[in-house]
Amino acid sequence: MDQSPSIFESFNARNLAPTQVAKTFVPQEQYSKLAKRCHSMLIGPRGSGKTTLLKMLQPQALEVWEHTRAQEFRSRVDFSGVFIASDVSWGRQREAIGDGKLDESTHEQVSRALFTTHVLKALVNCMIFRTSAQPASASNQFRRANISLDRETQLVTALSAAWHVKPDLPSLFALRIALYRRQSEIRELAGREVTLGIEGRPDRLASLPFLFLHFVDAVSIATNAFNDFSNESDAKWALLFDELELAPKWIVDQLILAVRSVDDTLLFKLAMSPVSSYEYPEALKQVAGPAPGQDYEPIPLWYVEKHEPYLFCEALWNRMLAERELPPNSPNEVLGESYSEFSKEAKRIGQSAYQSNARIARSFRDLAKRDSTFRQYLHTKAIDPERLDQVLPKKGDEIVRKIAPLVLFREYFRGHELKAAAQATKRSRKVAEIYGGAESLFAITEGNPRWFIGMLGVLFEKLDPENMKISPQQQARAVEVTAERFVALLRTIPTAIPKVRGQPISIDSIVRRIGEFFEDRAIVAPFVAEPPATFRVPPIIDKDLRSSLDKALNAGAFVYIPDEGAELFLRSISGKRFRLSYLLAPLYHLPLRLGTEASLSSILLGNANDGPKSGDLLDGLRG
Amino acid sequence: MRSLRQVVDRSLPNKESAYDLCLFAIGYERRARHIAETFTPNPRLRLACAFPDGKSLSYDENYRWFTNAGYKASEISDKEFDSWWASALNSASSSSNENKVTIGVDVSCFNRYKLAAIIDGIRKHSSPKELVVDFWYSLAQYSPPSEEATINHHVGPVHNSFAGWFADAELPIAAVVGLGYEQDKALGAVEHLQVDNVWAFLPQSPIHEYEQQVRTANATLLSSISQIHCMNYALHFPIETLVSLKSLCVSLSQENNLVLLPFGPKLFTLECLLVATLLPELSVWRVSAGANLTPSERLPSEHVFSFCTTWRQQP
Repeated sequence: MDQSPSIFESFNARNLAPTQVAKTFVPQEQYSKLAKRCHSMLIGPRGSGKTTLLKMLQPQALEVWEHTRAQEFRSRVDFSGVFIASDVSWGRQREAIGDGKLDESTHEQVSRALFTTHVLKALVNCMIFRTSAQPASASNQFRRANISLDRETQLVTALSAAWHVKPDLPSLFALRIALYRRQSEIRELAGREVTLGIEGRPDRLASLPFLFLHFVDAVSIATNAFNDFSNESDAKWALLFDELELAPKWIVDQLILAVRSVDDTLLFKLAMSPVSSYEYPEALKQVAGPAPGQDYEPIPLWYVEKHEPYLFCEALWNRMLAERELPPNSPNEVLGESYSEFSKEAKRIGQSAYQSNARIARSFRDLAKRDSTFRQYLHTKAIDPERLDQVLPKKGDEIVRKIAPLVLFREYFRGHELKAAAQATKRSRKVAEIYGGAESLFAITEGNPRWFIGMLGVLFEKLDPENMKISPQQQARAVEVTAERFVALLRTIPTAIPKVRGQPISIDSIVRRIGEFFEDRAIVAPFVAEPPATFRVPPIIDKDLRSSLDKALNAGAFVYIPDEGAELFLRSISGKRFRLSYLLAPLYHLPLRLGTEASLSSILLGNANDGPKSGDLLDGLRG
Repeated sequence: MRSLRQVVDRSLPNKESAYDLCLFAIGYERRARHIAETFTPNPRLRLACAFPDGKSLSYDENYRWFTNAGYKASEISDKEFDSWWASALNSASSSSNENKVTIGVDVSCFNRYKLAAIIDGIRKHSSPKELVVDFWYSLAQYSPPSEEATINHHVGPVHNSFAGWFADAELPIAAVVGLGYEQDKALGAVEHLQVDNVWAFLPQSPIHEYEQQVRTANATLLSSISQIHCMNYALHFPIETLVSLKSLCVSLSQENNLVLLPFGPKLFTLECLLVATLLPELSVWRVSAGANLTPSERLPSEHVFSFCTTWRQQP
């Protein structure tokens, strides 16, 4: 019987307890920023690590975390993190309460009460951890509080009164149970109101004080009370809100404004997708609202350049090997060098990268033989592909080195005719082995922990400790499976129906058109030194198309490339520049590079002119 | 609220089969009328629910057949269906002289929303009488899956009453997925929900071409989960499927928040809905292109399956 682990068991922090998250956690720069004693807004697409980072601020995670920097962070994090979970299924249940038959105002009121209860439960969970006896086997202690039974009784009595809840016993455990009961009561209330109808409803609801609790106030009362009873008068608490793009607008509005709350016991750490950060313009634009750098710190969780996540990926690699008790071989030792690392190859074999038998020189020669447009380009630059090593150093740096990665890919795909083969199978595109090697594989994961651990986890399970090598074929297959999963996700996302030239276009079709456009320019079209590999969204755009692009961005299909001087915090997709995720690059035979930009109009409308301002805004792209 | 008390085998109806109410869907597939036309059950109240969209292919022919056969054909949108069905059940109950109401429902051509609404209506029906409901399903002849790219309109609970209730949002999510033969549809849904613990149900039927196509369409998903999480179920043994499904769901829901994703045959969707009436905390989802989907003809095969359920008011 096949007992191989499921790829879906690879890593999803949402489904892991904080102590489990801590087992494999590797701190990155963003964690350092998040651990500061300030409000934070963590912004990133799916799988970028937001949930992991938030969960690692919980005391139960920090206490058990073992890492060279763990003690450093235990000293730095001087607040108690309260993780408030969310996910798409729970969000839909909240929407469906009352079977969708309640009037909007009552539904919102009930929904607020449910959310408040959810937050208070999370808070009580944290309090229970802090006041529980530490396991004898634990080597570290983190934010444990000493509260006598008497004081716990007083605390619970005070909170019960404030929260209008009646635990069976004056203990935190009983308080938590009472809050679970409150949840069920709210659900029953919703069902009852549907049956009773609107007549007399205001009076009925007015008689239930818990429906009018404000979650920030309710939390504030509790944290101040806990601080008093535990003799920690200045202690801070951080509310860690996850997946806020799934939360109703009123929650996010209140949270964004709460960062200016006068209660300085509370910090807010908010995690959301790139789009949701600007889908609530009211709160962000208000004069009284918070401003980046002043009240909260925006922390982006994406990487523009392919080399940026390498160090983090390498640290994660080491951690994963250690967890599996595998030898600590380096990524290059196990995965090999990437195809485009011709400099490393040269250094390794002790010769110039341009020597005639070096990979890049061979690629230049072979492509020049096959591609007359490339031959012509070299001719205009006075570069002889047969004598690459005789190119002057300055020209070599300016031209040869710059176009070398593109030449490698162009020659590879023209030579292997993979494009033709891929077109023959409509359902999937095989990933070429050119995308193997440590540097490329790490870039393809975009430093996205879920993709990284998902891809590498399965490869590690097949790794023989005696022969620590993962073949290019295995790597290509792992990339293929991960990319297929991702494309399947893109196809699933529900959207309105944007149209281009009157024809409906889905998210995955948009992505495919972009990918195929860049593929054509890089591999098929006449050679240019800098073919486009990024696109700019028109300043005015049809709302349905914009919605689809937003969702693609949130899912991680696109990566934002800020213009020089622009802030990283994305407020509007219009007029902005993006690239395809490198996870999608192998599906379209794209080099892992930024490249020049093309107008999205040109791409979707099929205009020949690639320039950023080209193309009229036709139907489907005009807002 | 009434609960599902019994599920038993039931032979297919015939013209002697007296029902208080029979319900069929007037869809665009030829098989929409297959059971009514072939087995000619004999209900007092004959209802045929037509859809506001997808009026192509065999739709007109079906509509004519049902009206000629004495069925009251009504065009009912999803939004109107719950109240329409409740009203139909009330009529059937009030006109039945027995202490039970016998109902027959052909589930073959209803969309998943309406299927959920049918079950929800049955369990919420307020009459004290017992409801005995036969469910029928006509398996379509094999035809290759459409290669048309669709844009999903709805990804979420199949019906508000089947959204479920997760008392502890922090529990991990597990998914039980019925596989269909649309390329990677199940995979996408599982990714959307970010599920780690996936159990796949593969349909087996007397028409063997389906099975290979299902495996091909779900190759990535199947290669990504443990073999012990892959379970075959036989369309022609619906009660066995129901028992297996319920048993698995009871087990999984001890430590997980459970979502059912019934792709593939509508019969499996029905089985998931029935399990959800027994385990109301779990959630049943659908992924639907709605009116965006281009209709395609499905002819009836010789295979029709049925079983009988009994519903009684909870004390």
